[in-house]
Amino acid sequence: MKKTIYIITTLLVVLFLSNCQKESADIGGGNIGGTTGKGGSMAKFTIANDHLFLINEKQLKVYDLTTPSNPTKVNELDVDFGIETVFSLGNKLFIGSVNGVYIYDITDPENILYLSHYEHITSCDPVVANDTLAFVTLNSQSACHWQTGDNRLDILDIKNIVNPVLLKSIQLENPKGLGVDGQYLFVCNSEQGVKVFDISNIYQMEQVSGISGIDAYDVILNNNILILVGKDGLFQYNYEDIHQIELLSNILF
Amino acid sequence: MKKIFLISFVFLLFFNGNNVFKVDGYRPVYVPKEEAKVIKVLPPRDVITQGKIYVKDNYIFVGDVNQGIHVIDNSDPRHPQKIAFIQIYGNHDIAVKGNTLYADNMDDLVAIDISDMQNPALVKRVEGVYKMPNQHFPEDLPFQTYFECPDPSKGLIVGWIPAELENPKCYTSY
Repeated sequence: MKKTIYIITTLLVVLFLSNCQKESADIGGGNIGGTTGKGGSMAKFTIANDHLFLINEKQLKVYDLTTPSNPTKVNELDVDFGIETVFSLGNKLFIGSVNGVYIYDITDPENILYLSHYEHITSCDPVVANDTLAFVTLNSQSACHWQTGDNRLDILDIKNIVNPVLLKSIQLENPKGLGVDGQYLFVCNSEQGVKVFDISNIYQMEQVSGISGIDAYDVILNNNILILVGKDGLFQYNYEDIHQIELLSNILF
Repeated sequence: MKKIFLISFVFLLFFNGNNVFKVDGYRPVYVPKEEAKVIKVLPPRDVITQGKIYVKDNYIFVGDVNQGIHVIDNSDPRHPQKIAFIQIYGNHDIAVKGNTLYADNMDDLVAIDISDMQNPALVKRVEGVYKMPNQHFPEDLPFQTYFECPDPSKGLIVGWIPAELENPKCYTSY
């Protein structure tokens, strides 16, 4: 009798543990059919909620990836001419365009809800965001504009998502892509390298670190490793100590 | 005497031996029509036009604008290695879910199985997602941007990339 109880208990424990492991494998992406990678801020594709969101010249198109080898279009909507970048955070989708940032709710990818629009002067606009703030760089020399715009970083309060409010603008030389990780914002500034800002108190935001001597186009932040691409090559840095960003490797182009 | 000097100077200015006008502009990427939508793996090679980046597990993908994707094995971030180049003409973007890589290929969206990175396999093509690349001039550029005049005999234009041009005859205008 005791032996039987032992065997049953062991079996139950094993079953319980194996189920736990199965769940933790999904924690990374929470998606059926495998986890999703990470793109930079200049992307025109993003995968969220098991769907691929892409932008062409003027539309957002949405594909169901439940069967990854069979992407199936489930939605399409006109956004604006001159849309350049797309970024998702939870159930929100941000689209950067010549006429500003468009924000959508993608909780149901087949019924996307338009939430709001932040307008500003025309430029190419990569956008990244955390739960309360959105960060946009504007570049006057970009290929999608004809030097009518400014060169700067705009920070928007998005606590009330239907009414984004400009909090701050910082002039930069030649801003391109950007990335945010916790209290740090990384902004690519072309020949000027990367500027790192502490955003824990946005009203007293200041540059706390940076990388110079390389051309910076876009970044991906991946577990304390900064992956940077620019005209010179692909560079990886350890930014665990933000004041001593350490070059790990490079592949020169 | 001064007049002769001035005339000679102006003459030489226009008729010196190095009369080449060099300017940054765009040139077409030509591909034989039948190759434009062929997705295949090639040995690692140099980056021509740096594009966008994407990370998935131990791989970093670096786009080569309008040509394809460089695949980098990043198992050790201190020693990343280029291991392959996936030819995807007209490409600008990618995203990866599980073992499927999604990319734009000319006017289509493609899904490529990358379970074996040395044998990527096209599993689905969704046609007509984008406009076909412009066969006459590069789009979305400031006016007076120089470009190499298209020559249809060289093949299909899959896109335009930045290049230094010598004595270009074509430029964008209203």
